[in-house]
Amino acid sequence: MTERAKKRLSLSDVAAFLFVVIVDAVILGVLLQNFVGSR
Amino acid sequence: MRNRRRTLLRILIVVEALALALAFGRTRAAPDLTVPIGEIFSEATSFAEEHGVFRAYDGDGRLLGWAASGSESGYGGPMLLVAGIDTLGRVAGVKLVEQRETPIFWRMARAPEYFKALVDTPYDEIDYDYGEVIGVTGATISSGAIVASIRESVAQVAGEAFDVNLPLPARPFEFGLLEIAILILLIAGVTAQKVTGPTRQRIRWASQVAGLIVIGFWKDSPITLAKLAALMSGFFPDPRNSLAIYLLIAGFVVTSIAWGRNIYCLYACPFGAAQRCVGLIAGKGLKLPPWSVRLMGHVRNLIVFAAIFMAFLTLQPALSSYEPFAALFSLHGSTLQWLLLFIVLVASLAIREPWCNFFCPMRSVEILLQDIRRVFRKPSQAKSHD
Repeated sequence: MTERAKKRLSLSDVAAFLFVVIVDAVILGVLLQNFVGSR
Repeated sequence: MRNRRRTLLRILIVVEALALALAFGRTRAAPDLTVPIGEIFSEATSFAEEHGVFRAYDGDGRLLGWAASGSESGYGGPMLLVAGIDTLGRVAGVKLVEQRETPIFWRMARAPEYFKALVDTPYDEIDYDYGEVIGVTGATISSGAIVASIRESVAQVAGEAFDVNLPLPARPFEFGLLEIAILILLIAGVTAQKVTGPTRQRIRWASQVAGLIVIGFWKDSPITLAKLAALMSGFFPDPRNSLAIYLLIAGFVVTSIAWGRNIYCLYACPFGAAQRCVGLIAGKGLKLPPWSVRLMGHVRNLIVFAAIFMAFLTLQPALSSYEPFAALFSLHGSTLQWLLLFIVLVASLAIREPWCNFFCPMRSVEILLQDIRRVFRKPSQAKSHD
């Protein structure tokens, strides 16, 4: 595995990606709940 | 120069898109009040309106009662209710016609029970204690608005139908501990700009802890996107009982434009303080990869834009709020808001103030205000920034 590939797969990158996806998904869920709940 | 032009273009696109959404939302026709009045007087077949008071008649032309509407500003905007009084002077029913509160408020509030309990009560013996409606702490403005709207409509009917003057209670300016605390915190923030090093840090800690206690746990009234969206929609809460929100937003906007850094987030925001306190447990903050920081910023800006756009389009500003503040400070929230609070607080152990830095909608608003500041400053002043 090249240095660059190793860097691409670093644990902090994966953790950061999961963090972004999870938090933003929950935020979108809250907003969806607000707008759907008000109908 | 090119940067400034690009920033100006971005600001114009955002502002124009939001203005269009608001214009569309505002085109909605006023509700037909005879529909809820017909629900109150179920035998009514015709209505006549005079001076804002409706008379409801049955098929034989007999008078069934009177009804009038009342409107008062809640947390998300004006609320419209209709109260009906029968010919014996008793409440025939109360109907909610328009509201702009969050679904969580209606889940917690005891409004339907309160409306039901009012039926058959003589119009001059109604209990206007909003504690009966409230059911939830931290929602006094919305609960008070329900009661004030009923009081207004009943007073109209009493004057028109029974020639009785029911005076509406005087509303004094509420300038209490919350308003004083906000002023002190904002002044502390401004003063801290004049000092450096440990003194500034000490001032910041002291004011943040005070903000956490007063604006957070005691009053649960931090700035939220919903409050800002309500103001931008033209729904201005009564300053006599909502002075705190005007002070907070003025502090936020003025210092963002004047200094490019807002005092509210740094010195008064209770949620920022809560994350800082949690961060103390683990010590030094983890550094996230730069690409993820950029990504989170872009996604946040998009979410905030979409939330305000939808709030304007539906004219429901309260729905744009996604912050988990009420879950922490009033212990009220949906499952997803609790989950969001949990993730953010756990993340605060490893990452420095994650909500403030990556997800808070007010950060996007602050960036927009900073862009406006950059565009409208003299080129010589802006040069060092661009």
